[in-house]
Amino acid sequence: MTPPNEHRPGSLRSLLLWILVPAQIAVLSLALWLSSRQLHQQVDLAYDRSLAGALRAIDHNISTASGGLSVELPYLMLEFFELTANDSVYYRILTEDGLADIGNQNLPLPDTHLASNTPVFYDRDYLGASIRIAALARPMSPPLYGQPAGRVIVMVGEDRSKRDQVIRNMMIRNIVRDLAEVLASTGLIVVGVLIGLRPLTRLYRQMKDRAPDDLSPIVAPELPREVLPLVGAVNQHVARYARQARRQRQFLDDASHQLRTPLAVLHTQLDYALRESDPAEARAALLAMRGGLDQAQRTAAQMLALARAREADIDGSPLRTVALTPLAQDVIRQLYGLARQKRQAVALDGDELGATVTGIEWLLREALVNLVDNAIKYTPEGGTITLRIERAADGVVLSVCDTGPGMTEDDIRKAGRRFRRGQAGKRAHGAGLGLAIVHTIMQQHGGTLRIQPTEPGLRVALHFPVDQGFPDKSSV
Amino acid sequence: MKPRSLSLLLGGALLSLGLAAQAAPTKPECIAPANPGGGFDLTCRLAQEGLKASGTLADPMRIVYMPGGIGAVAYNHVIAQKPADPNTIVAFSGGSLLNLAQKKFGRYSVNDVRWLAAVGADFGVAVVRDDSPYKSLKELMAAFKQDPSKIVLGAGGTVGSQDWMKAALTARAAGVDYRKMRFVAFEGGGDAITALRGGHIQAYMGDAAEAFTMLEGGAPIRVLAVFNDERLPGKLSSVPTAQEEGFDIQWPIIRGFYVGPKVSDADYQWWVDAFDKTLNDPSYAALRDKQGLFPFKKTGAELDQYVKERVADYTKLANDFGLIRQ
Repeated sequence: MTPPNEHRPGSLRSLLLWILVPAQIAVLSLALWLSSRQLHQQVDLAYDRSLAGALRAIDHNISTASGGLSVELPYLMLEFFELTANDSVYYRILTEDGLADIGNQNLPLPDTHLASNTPVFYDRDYLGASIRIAALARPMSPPLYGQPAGRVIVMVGEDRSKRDQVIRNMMIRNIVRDLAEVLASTGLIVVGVLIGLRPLTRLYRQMKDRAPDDLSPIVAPELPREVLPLVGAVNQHVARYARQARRQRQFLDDASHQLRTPLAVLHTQLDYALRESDPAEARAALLAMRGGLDQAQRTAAQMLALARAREADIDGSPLRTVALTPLAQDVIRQLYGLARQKRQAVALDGDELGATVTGIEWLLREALVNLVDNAIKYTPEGGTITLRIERAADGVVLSVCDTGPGMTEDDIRKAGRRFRRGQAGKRAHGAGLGLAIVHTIMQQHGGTLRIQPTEPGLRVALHFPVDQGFPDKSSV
Repeated sequence: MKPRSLSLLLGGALLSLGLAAQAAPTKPECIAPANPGGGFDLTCRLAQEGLKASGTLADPMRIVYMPGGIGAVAYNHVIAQKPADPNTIVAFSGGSLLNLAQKKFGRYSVNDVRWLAAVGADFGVAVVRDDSPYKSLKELMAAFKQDPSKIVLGAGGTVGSQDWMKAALTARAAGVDYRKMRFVAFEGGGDAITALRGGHIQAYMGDAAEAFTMLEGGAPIRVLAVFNDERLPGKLSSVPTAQEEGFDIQWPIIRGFYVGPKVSDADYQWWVDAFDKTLNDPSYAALRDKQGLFPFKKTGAELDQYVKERVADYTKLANDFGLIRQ
């Protein structure tokens, strides 16, 4: 893998890390913020309660019975309070009109109006330290100098440092714990991702080390289930490509093999014709060349037909219901001229003349033309060629019988191979591709090509099974 | 009951000879506007004993404690609740006048009462606990200069009260920022001395008279300096003046009484005459010395004029410290 690829946004590893780690940190920050707020509230609540206790205690020591504002010094009580608070404690007692003001001067009053008999808690800076203050206002009883609405305000302040220390310690514990959790889970996820991706890396190396022409399917059973469909698709794609490559190579092989000889012969004949001074000889040579060209043309046409038959499964020709009788009649009409030259009789009969098969019509026609053409070619003059459409035990059979010389057992066994001619064909023109084409077409239609010797002659049958299932196009 | 009414009758008969024929108050009381034990308490006690010794009042006056704002509550109480009550006199000090000058006595001014008599003078003193590390005013100021937060000062009254003023003047003379002073306010000297003994404050700027009586009572305190131009006589003669310590500060305090604004001229005059007689009585000096006070005599119109001058002076001083809210 080259470095730029590692930083591509598509990299699973970086995607996971870039999303997971910031998300974890964001969640951690939010959680810490929330717990810090709650912690502050809870600690303040607990500490404020004791502050409120001190406030009430001082309040009980205030008397206006003398007509003045008399306060028993709260120091003894504050000393006990300082023992529990471990910090400096301040107090201030004043009448709301400010005439009497006892205790720590300038201890800040709350910003808001104090409701009577309800303690209020707030933070302020005092003497350079942050302190928490509890303040309480209540009506004086009896009131001072005839002011029934007069109130006395009692305030107790406590240094925040102790409770802030408690909060800080708890926060540090929280942060350490949360960080450990985040690190652990991030580590687990990263390790998990790396282990999960390891089979893919192995597959990558395996593919890199392959021979350039190795198109065999990828076998990687240890891959995660999620990746297997991808591997299957790749395998399918490679298989299709391999098949296509094989067919093209075959066509090239066929073409070079089959056209080399006629071209060489034509070259020789052309040389001969050019050298010959006698116009009659030269003409004879040219005529011979025409025969050779005809043969080359036929061979080329047959090779193309074979190639097309092989491609048929992928070039998307539509499947149709094909009626066999009209097809056979068409082919007979097409070749009748040739049979007529050899004074041969061509007949069509059978007990299943209404039979139909599912297939690609032009391919079936090609197959039948080949068979009938062969029959005409190998049957001596005056012979008989019979086409039959019959019902067999497991399907429909379209057969061509002739009264020719037949084929040897060996020829029958090897029939369907390309460029092979039987004993009977040695002297005839032909490329040896005919039965190979028919064989291929029948394979594609899920049928078979069967050759039987008869007395006299040969029976070549196209056998279509009843549940003539087309093999899966893509897997042929 | 019988002997009492007889003596009152006698007193009245005596006074009526040379003065306006006016009956003595039937139930005289002296309001000390603080908790017991401070300067106001001493002032009332001096009047109580002096008026009795001079024969002006047959029975001792009742002393009523009405703490609150160094006299502010009592001032408002008298003006609002019993402005015409001839039975009630209220103790005041120079500190009361200073607070009045700063409008700390509420909406009332120096003109809202009738100033009666000044019975003695007092001087400011700096007091620490007797085991305090500070042996002199100089040491205390040096420590204060080093770390103002270490020294908590107690004061009768709030920021701007005379006790605060004494400390602020000293601090200013020592080149220390007086705004950094840590202050705890108390209702008069009694509470302050209690807090000093408890170690809740480190120093207290009090008055010589109350310090004197505290020492008499065996209180564990040490007087560091007296705010006068010369040393005081008697038991406090060993205490150096602030001047000797290098701080040129004098803080005399008069102590006296006022009555409500609607007390009749006749009743007012009765009280003026009573105090004139007492202050001139041969036995008075001894009583005054016993309370630690120093001679100062002014009554009636003379005092009224003096008080108003003092308030004008104090207003100026308070303005110097930025104490008066505009």
